[in-house]
Amino acid sequence: MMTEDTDLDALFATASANAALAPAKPSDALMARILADADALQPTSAQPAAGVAPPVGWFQTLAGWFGGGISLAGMSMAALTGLYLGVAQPLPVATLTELVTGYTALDSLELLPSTGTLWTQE
Amino acid sequence: MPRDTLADVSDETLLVLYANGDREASRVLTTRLAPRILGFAMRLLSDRAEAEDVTQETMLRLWRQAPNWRSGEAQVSTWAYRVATNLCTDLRRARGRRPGVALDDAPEVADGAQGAVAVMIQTDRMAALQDALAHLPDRQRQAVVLRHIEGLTNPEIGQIMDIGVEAVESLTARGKRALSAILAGRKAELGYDDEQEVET
Repeated sequence: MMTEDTDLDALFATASANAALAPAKPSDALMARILADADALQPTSAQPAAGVAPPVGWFQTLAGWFGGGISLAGMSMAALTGLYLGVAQPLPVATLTELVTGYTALDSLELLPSTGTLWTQE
Repeated sequence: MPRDTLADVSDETLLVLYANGDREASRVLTTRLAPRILGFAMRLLSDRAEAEDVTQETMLRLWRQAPNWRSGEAQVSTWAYRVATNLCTDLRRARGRRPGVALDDAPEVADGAQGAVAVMIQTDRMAALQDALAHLPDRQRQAVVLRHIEGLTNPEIGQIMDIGVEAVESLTARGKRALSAILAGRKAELGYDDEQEVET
């Protein structure tokens, strides 16, 4: 066999050095084609195209009417708290109403007299 | 970003910059990668025009991949070598195997401070090596070029060729044996006999 390993290794070493010292030189036309591809495929910024508004969901629209999501959350919390106070009648509330109205239970509290009572009184 | 500023930036960072809209990043990355891919493809194909097509297609796929590039999974150069290797394989299959190489298509020899005769000898040897490489089976040629000329590590070659390190070692060993056998008859022609006589 002609080439001992050293001969072949010497050939490889020369080829490798040539590849490093005198790398293949792309032609100007090739470079231009590559860069034209790069420009054509380069992503633009993440902003949506001009004139196209992003889609808005119904919840965002609703929140917008009340000043945003935080305001809507506060209103929801207030509504739930009021419902709880009305149904559960916690002790402090019951005590307060007893002092004001004289009733010990709110079940029979009549805030407006019935129309029947009004007719009778007349 | 100015080109000077990008000189020391890694390939992966350049790709991210490109994906973020930096035009200069694509120019620096092309300057780095295109010569390597072109030289590699010329080694595999022995045809400059085909090698240029492979280089352009490899870079095109890199630009497409840029927005979805997964950081840390692979080196950009390794990824490019892999794409180029597959393209070269497809091209050779599509066009039929064409062993042999015209001298004009042989990779250039660095001139340096060598004399004219030395340059001619080196040129002949490089052409002989290229000719011998063209006679190897595709996988052996790819492994030998990546290992011994491009200077990649066996694990990197394994990633590129989608095989294990042991398979890479086997391919390169068989490739070297085959090259030795092919070049055996050209020792005198390439001037190795004269060198040995001078040494002894």
